[in-house]
Amino acid sequence: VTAGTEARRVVVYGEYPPFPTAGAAATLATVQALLADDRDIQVVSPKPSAAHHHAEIGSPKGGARLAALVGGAELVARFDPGILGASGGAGPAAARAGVALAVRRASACTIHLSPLTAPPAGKWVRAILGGADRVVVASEEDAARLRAAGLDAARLSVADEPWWLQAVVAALPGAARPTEFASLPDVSVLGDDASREAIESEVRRWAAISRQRDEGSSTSASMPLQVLPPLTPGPATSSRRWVGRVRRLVQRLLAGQIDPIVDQVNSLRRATIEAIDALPVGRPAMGSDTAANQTLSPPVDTDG
Amino acid sequence: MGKGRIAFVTPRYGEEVVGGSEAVMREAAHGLAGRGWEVEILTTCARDHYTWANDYPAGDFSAADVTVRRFRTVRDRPYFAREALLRRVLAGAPVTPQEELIWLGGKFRVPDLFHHLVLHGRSFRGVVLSPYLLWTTLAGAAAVPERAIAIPCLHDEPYAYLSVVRPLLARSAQVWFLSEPEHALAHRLGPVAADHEAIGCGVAIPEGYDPEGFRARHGLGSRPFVLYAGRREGGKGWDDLLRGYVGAVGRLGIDLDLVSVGVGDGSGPPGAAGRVIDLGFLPYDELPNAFAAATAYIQPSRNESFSRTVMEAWLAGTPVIATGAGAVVAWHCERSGGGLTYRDDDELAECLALAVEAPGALEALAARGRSYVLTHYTWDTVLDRMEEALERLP
Repeated sequence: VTAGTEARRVVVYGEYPPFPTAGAAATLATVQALLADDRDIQVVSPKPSAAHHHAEIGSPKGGARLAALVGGAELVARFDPGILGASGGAGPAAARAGVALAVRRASACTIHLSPLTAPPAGKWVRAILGGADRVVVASEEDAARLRAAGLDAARLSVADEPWWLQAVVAALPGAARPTEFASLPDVSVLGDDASREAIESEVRRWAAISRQRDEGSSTSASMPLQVLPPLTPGPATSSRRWVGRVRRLVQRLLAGQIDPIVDQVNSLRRATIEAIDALPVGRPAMGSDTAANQTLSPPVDTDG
Repeated sequence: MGKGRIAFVTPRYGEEVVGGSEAVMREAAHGLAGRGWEVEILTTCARDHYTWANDYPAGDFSAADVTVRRFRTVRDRPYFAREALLRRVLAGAPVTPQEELIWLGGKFRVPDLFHHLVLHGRSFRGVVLSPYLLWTTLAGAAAVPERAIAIPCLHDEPYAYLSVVRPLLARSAQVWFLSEPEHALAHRLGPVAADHEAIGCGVAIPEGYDPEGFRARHGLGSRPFVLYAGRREGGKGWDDLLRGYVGAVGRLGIDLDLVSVGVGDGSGPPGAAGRVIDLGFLPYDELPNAFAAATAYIQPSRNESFSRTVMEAWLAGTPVIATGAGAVVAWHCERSGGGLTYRDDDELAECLALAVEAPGALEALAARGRSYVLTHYTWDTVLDRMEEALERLP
């Protein structure tokens, strides 16, 4: 990367779409403006999003990652002002140090802050914001608090728009619902010109009769077993190569114990289906006096 | 001078990509290009909708009259956290909007496509995005809401009630629904953009059918069969169909095989060996022949936002038997007077028996179905509606 291209590169940090937050919309607006200016942008968001990278700067790892991504590029960031608070142990302190490093590595840096919710600690105000060229705060009160915490007043400005406030989307008028379905006509004769409704009515009547006739019938008892797939060992694959290897190894080691159980369960299943299918069935085909074909094997194809 | 620029954002694009939404987007894109629009298809490098791996190279190429731009997917870890979130979503347990988005982005993300839209989205008259539950759609609409045209392909399923879906329906410039039941569902979910309509979906009309050749090519002989075309997976009602079919054949002795085409495991249970026939994935131009050769077409899926296969069956003059649990297909059957719906396995069995024993009655229904498709869902008709909608955009 040459110095020239690095100067054109901008790292933008903040919440980002598709997260529907006010911060995400503001970051997107920044990105749009920079793209329109033909800048080379890299977006970093706290969580996985439409950004190119993600780094949760509340953790030391995230702070360090942001610092690494910034390199010598320009940084435009929207930070949660909680990062300036006094609370937290070694972990948060390391994270803040990482963020401070990111700010100081940048060739230029603008930081936008939403309204302060707690008194800022002078140490972190100076460490993080002290390296920025410009700090844009939510109000004059916040600016005063940061000045009191030791930040150079020349770097401070107040936001023109309350970007941290969620835009209100008014409820939109609904559209007409589809018309209700017509009720089924009372048709009892079924011919080639019968309506769909008449046919369906007959189907339902037949099904009701079928249900009554099948009550207590032993032939339906095998259906759940037939639909149940045979037992097989779990797949010994994984998108991660080493996990797949471990699974295959475990499967091989246990094959002597597992395979006989699988075979026995499947034999039992087959024997049960065959025993149930061998039972007599009393349901004739609709409109027919002949006994129904009781097996699922295909009749002989006369076409050969 | 063309009519204007329009982009189609689809998660997958390619001849071998199977999926209703992808097919709608592909055909609409090429249809509008044929009418003088300058069309770009913005898609991922993925072919497999389980892994979302980058199977195709990234970059731009021309496909007939459109420009296709492929962007690489990014997949995050940890995977197990996403699975845990999925279980909570499906169980109806409380999930925060942030968790919803982490779950959604955990499948795949395409930051480069998003930034392409941020940079170029406003150069298009409209940016069409589909389907609703994929990152490309929800993030893409967030990039250019004032140009976004959502074709959500909503189903009444737990995912549709996630809060992340609401901005897509409420803030897009336009929403195009494929059917009135989908439209009604959207209103039950929350606010819908002021400019929306049930625009429908086009279905290509084959030049002819070759049912006998199809039977010969696939070794089906002269045995009658019912057909299912689509993904053979639980979410599409495949398991329900197998259970109902096995029950129907076992109890009523119905002399119909079950032939299925599509991706997924199409094998039947052991007890139905030889009766459940898996033809796998068929070439695009062979599908119409499958519909024409079938005694009836079965649609067991309740998760349909349009159901093109039902239309294709009707076009082929083949009766349709569909689960009544799916509001959209039941609506088509009701409105057209061209299909039968069943409410349980017993009614499915009787419908299958009817297809064997009173085929004349079902053929008359199929003729009404064909007339319904030709009236409402030819691509010419649907593209007219799409162009009228596009003209309303600023």
